[in-house]
Amino acid sequence: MHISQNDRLFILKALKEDIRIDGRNPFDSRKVTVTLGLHNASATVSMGSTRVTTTIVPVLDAPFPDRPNEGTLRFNAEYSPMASSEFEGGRHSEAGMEMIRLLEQVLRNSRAVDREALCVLAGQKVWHLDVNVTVLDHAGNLTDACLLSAVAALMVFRRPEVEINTSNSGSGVARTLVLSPAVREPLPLSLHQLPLSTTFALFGAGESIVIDPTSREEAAASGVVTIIVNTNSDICAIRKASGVGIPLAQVQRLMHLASNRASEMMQDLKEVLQQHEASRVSSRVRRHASAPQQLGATSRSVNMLPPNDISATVQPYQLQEQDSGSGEETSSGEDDMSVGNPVRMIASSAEGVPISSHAQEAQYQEAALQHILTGGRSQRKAAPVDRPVASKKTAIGLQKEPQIDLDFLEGDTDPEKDVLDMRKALQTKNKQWQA
Amino acid sequence: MVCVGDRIDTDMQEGFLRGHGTQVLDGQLVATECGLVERVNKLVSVRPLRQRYSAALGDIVIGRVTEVAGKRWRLDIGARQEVSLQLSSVDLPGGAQRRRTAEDEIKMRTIFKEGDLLSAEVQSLHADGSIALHTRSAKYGKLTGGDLLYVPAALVKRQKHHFTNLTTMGITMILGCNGMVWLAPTHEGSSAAASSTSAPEQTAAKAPASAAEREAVSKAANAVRLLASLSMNISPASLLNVCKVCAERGVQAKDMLTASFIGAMLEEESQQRLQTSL
Amino acid sequence: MEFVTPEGLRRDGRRPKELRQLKCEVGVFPHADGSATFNIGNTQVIATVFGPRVADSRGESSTDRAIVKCAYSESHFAAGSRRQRKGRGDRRTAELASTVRKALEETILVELFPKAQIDLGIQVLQADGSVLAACINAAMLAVADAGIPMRDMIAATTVGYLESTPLLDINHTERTGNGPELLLALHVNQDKAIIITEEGAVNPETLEGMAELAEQGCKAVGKFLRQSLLEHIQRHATVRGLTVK
Repeated sequence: MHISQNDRLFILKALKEDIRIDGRNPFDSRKVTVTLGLHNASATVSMGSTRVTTTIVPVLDAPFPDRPNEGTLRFNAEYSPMASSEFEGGRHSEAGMEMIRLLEQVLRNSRAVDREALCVLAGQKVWHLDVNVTVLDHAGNLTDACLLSAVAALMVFRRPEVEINTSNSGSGVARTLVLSPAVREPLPLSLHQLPLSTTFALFGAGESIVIDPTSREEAAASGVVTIIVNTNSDICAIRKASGVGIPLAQVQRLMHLASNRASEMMQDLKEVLQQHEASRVSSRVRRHASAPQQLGATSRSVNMLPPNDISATVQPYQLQEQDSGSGEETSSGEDDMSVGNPVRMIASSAEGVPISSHAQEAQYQEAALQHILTGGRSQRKAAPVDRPVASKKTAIGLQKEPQIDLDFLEGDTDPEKDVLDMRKALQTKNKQWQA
Repeated sequence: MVCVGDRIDTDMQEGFLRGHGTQVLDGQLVATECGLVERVNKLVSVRPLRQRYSAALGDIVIGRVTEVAGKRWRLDIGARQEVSLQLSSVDLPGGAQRRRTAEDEIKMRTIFKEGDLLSAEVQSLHADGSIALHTRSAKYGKLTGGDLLYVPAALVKRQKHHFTNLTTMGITMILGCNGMVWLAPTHEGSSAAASSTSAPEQTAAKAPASAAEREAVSKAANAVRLLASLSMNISPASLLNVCKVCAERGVQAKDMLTASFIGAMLEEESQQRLQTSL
Repeated sequence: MEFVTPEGLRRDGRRPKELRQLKCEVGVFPHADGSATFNIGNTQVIATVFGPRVADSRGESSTDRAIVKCAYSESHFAAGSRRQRKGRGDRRTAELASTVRKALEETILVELFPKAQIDLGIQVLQADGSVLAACINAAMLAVADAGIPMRDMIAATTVGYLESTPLLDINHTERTGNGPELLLALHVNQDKAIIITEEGAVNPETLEGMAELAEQGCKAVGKFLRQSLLEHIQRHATVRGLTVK
């Protein structure tokens, strides 16, 4: 980024009096916000206006021949022109490559992620994790934001459970089946180190130093130093790869500041993760109590599946449409009966469901939640397990199947209360189911 | 003799002028290059052994045309800066003294085109540091029918005469300050350079050199190469000296660059220096 | 694998604070503006410099300073086993080239040459640890040979930490110990650190010790480089008949 001489001089002059152009003190960082994706594979970090997203995509495939027991981590950093006019398109910008090298060094070469734990079947199948860091908005200090989002994504990521089935095949090759999250809870990664970085900008001949520079400050700076510290207060990496020279004594001081900032950031990150975990658990509950849904717009029949014999078909979630020409007396609310939950049918343990994208699942989950919370008049058409839903105001001829017993539901049409009741109901059903 | 970062002693003088190759740090004069300290009155500078040629006003240089651009030619003289020869700085054929018209601009290639070698003088430096040359004299202009050598620019000192006629050998030598040396057989009645004022037909009609002329030129060229390899200064005198030694020992032109002759030259040189120092 | 014996000797017989043997030669390629070779132990690097010259591309050139470019290449026979891939053009070599470039960019007085370009070429002949440090040292010698003015002498060295001992100037075998590694490039007269890269988890006190050792190492290398340059000038000045005051 280019800034005018005037701007540069102004920034330097202000720094001599310990004032920064955005009003911060030299050693203040911008506010950091971390948003975690509900489907457990992404983290978005905002530091002031800088925004970076990291997504992790797991791929089950053969391992590298020289490391048959280890999974791999592949890093990709996308410094796209969307984020800043100084980035050219294409994948090989110098800054992007440096970022990839830094991530590889700190997260892969340092064995921060346990790669042996990613092994499914030695020599045949391991998890390859593609960690994609995308810079959405560049307002300075991409290093810290990228690393934080990568670490957050690794901490929130859950990899699917895999079952190995050696019985069926005649060839002797084991078949691996990826189990959907509805069957077995996916697992977190095994992380040995959680490195977080702090970037400093040096100005003039190195006498002024600030933490977490904005892009204008970076353009006016004469040097940049990044120090990466992990949770044990060990220094994981120092990168001063350019810029004006500084005395080594300064570096000690910077290490100390970086250590403090890293522990603060880790605190905040852990809080966000806890909150996220809580919401994940509650959505899991809903998922396990999922109901079969209705196929097709016209058929209002609900698949009735006896609880013990579940088919493995995945049925896409469809919001039932009102069939206006039916002539039947339906309350519009009734149509929203296909409440419930995503889609994924609970698979039997004998067959695995090919893993569909987390995005799809999230979509369904979220649609379901939305639906539960806002849709339909009669929300009490809760979805008990495996039972077709109906309302008390059932219209004649709508249903072709037996009524469900709604005796656990009572009362009036208060939506909020209905939701709470429903949750309670689901929980009890869930317990039944688990038992 | 100093290295980069060494402090230069200025205690003896009260004030000093900072010259090339130095910088002031914390009130101390520090060298920025490795080389010898030169003190001329109050000017303190450091001269390195080797440096890419950096043009100064009045230097005579030899260069090759790389581009014919709008109203100027761009040349390569192996210098640090950009070099150009303006259309207004050359003599038009026919000796006309007039304002350059658009027609002249179109006909630029008839004067010099890409790949031509020419000798010129540094006229001025532009504001952005680039160099402007001129060939407004009979002795400058296109060079043909000779041998061009590249030597380190530092070995060519600024002298009174850069165009010399080595009558004993029958060749003309042009010592470019940028380290390019031109050797050509002397032609009767005209200077070594075919100046731009002569009509194109004349230059084309130059007869090819005879065997004797070629031998003389190659002898001189080898002498220059030898001097360059020994890092000795190149001047007409030193060249003639080498040729003299060569003649004394009956060495042929093709054997001048053998190790034995180079050794012999070194001996000569050291003896001469001993004599001068005594 | 043991890296430091109880008597305090390393696998190659050095003491922990000992540098390997240094050797260099300045002005090896007469055609380049500046050139040099630098050997530290078994690591051998050649560097050449062209420039300052007119920038090739107007778009890249800067009106107030020279741009510095670096082309880095490792020979196929440089490492222990013949390299399968090209020795340049991949991410790792791009990073190495970029580091050498930035180190020299900060050292050369680029403001003196507007619109110019300085080209560095680095060729690694033998890689036995501390390769990047050797490249920086070789590049500095080449730049000095080319007569390009510099702020200060830059010298680089690496320090490792194995078996609770900081080790100066690690070689390839010691690198395989996967301990923390620190590279320091220092302006030796002004005591300013230009490049600091540390990899591997290490606690701050240990790092302090490593940094101190690295500083001493850089100063020792700097002394050697200075000595070599002065000898080179001495030799040539004598031949040219220039007197030394």
